[in-house]
Amino acid sequence: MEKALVVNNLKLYYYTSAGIVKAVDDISFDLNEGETLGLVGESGCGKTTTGFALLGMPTPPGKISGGEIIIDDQNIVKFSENELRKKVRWEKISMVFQGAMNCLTPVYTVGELMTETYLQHRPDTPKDVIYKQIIKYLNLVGLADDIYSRYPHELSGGMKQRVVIATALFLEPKIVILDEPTTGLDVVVQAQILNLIKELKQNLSISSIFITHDLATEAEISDRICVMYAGKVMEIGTNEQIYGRKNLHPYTEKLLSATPLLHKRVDELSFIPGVPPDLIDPPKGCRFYERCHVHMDKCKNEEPTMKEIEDGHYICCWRY
Amino acid sequence: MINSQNKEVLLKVVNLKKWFPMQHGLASLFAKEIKYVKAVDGINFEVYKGETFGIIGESGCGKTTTGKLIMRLLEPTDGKILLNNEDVAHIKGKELKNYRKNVQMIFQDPYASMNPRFRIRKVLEEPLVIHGVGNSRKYRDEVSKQLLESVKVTPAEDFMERFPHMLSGGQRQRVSIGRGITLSPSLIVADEPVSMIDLSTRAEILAMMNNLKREFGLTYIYITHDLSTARYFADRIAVMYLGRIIEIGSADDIVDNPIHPYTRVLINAVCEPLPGKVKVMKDIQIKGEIPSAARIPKGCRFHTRCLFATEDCINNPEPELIDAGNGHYHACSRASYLPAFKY
Repeated sequence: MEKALVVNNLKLYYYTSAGIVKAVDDISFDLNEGETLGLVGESGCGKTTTGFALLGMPTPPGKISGGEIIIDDQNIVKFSENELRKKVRWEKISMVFQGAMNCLTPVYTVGELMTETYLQHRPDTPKDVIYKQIIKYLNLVGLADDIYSRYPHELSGGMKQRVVIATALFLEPKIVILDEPTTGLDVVVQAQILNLIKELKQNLSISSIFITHDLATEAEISDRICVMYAGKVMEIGTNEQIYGRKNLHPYTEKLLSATPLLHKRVDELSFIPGVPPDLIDPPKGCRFYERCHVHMDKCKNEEPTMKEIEDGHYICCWRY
Repeated sequence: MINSQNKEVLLKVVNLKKWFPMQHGLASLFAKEIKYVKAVDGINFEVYKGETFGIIGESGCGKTTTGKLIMRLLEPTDGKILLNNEDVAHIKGKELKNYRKNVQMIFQDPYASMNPRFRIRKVLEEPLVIHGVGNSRKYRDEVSKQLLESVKVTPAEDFMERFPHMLSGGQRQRVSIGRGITLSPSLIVADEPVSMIDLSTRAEILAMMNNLKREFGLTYIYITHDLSTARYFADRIAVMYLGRIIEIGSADDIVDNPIHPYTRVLINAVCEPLPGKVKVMKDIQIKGEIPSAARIPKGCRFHTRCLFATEDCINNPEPELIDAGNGHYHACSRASYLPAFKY
C-alpha cells in the first residue's frame, strides 16, 4: 500500500524554564493512502502535539528536536517556515483544530473567512474560481449555498464544525488531521458529523488522522488505531485487533475496560490508578510502569521496544 | 437497586417551570407582551431515597436549570419542589440556608469551582463555617481530614495545606465531592461531575461516589449528556427535550427498550467501543435542528424533528406522560404505531 505519510523517530520537546518537557519522544508511525489513523490517549499524552508537529508548527516553546516527517518523499522537518507555508500547510496537509468552530471570527461571513484562507495560499486566483470551490465544498459537507454569506453567530455548533471541515478540505490536501472534531458537540450532532466524515472519506479518498481521547468515537471512524501514553506510542493495530480485545497492551486493555458500554450493564468499571509520569524527568524503563497491573522487574529499568505480535499489530511491552 | 416495595420519596417535583423573561427594565414596560425563554416548562418527577436519578439530554434542554432549581440557586416561575414533603420552591433567608445544608451540588468544572486563593483545608471547612457547625478549629480540621480520606485524596495532612492549582483535575473533583458531603446532606445534585475528567480516572470517581452513597446514605441527581455513564451510574433516568421530560424509567428500560422517538435517536447516536463499525453509517432518525426555547413548537414539541409525526401531533395538545408499566413513562401519543426499536 502507498504511504501518504511516514513519521520516523519524531521528537518534540518543550523548552520551559522548569526543564525540557519531552511531550513527544521518539515516535514512529505511518499513514496509508485513503485510510484513517486514530491517535488516542489521555490528556497530556502528546496526541495534539503530534498533530501540530505534522504541520511543522510546534507551539512555542516547543521545538521539533529530531526525527523526520516524510510526505511525498520529502522530509518536511527540514523545510523553512516559508516553504512550509507555501508548499505544505493546506496544500499537502491540513488540520481541523480543536475547538476551531468556536474561533471563527465573528465579524466575517463564512465566505469571507474561506476566501481569505484561499488567497493566503494561492494568491491571484480569480474571485469566481474561489467562489465555485467554496460552494462545492460547502455542499460536500452538507451545507446550502446561502451559508456563504452567513455570519458565524447565525450557525449552530454542528454547522460551524461543518464549515471548519470544509475549510480544511477545500484546497484539496492529501492528508487531513482532525483534532477532537466532535468534542463539545451534542451526541446527535456528533453522530451526524461522524457520518459526514465517513462519507467524505469514501467520496474524496483522503487520508486522515483522527485525534481524540474517546475510544468509543475512535471505534466508529479509524481503520487503524495508535495508542499513545506519556509521549510514546504504546500500541498500533487495526480496528479489529484493538477492539477485538485480544492480546492488547496493558494500557489499552485498561482504557477499554474503563470505557462504559451502553448496551451491557456492568457493576464495576475498572480504572487506572495513579497519574501519568512527569515528562521533564520521565521514568527510565517503561513509562506506564507505575500504573501497570502486570508489570515485571524488567519494566522498571529497561525501556521496551516495538514488537510486531501479529500482522500489522505492534505492541511496546516486555510482556510480548 | 431500589426495591419497589419500600420506596420512600425524598424529593418530589410538581409542574416545575422556569421562564426567563427576554425583556428587562424599561424595555419590558414598552413591550406588547413579554417573551420568555422557557428553559424548564412543566416537569414532574420523584426521586426516591438512596437512588441515583439521572437527567439526560442535549445542551439547552433544561437539565442544568433543573439542577439549579432543585438547589434553589434559581427561584422557579411556577410549580413545587417538595423535599421530605415540604415545599421549598419559594423559601427565603434562614429557611433557604437550612435547606442548602441538606442539598448540595457538585459542579462540572473542578478548575472553576474552587477559590484559587483558598488552601484545600479552607475549601473543605468553608461549608462548616458558613453553617456554624462545630466552632473549634480542631473539630473542623478533623472533619476535613476524614473527608479527604473518604474521597481518597491522601495523605490528607499533606493535601490540606495545598492550593487547588497544585492538584490534578481528578483530585480537585474529589475535593469538590468531599466539600459536597461535608454537611452530610441527604441529596446531592451532581452536574456533569466527570465530563471534564480523564477517561482513566472517570470510572474511579464514579465508583468512589457510589461508595460514598452507601457509606453516607446519599441520594444523587446525576445530570449528564452521556448515556453510557448514566446507564452505569444511575438507577432511573429521565430524558429531557426542550424543557420537558419526554421519557422516564429505569436505566435498563430507557436504554434497552426506549419508546419515545427522541430517546431512540439519542441511544442510536451513542458510539460504542466495539469493532466493525468503520464502514457502517449510523442510522440517526431525526431531522432539522433543535428549536429555540423562546419559540417552542405547538402540539408535541418534538414534532418539528420527528420522522413519525402526523397532523395530530401538531394539532392536538401536548401529550402528558403515558404509563407504559413498570414505572416507565413516555410522552409520545403515537407510541403504539412506531416500528420496533433496534440498535
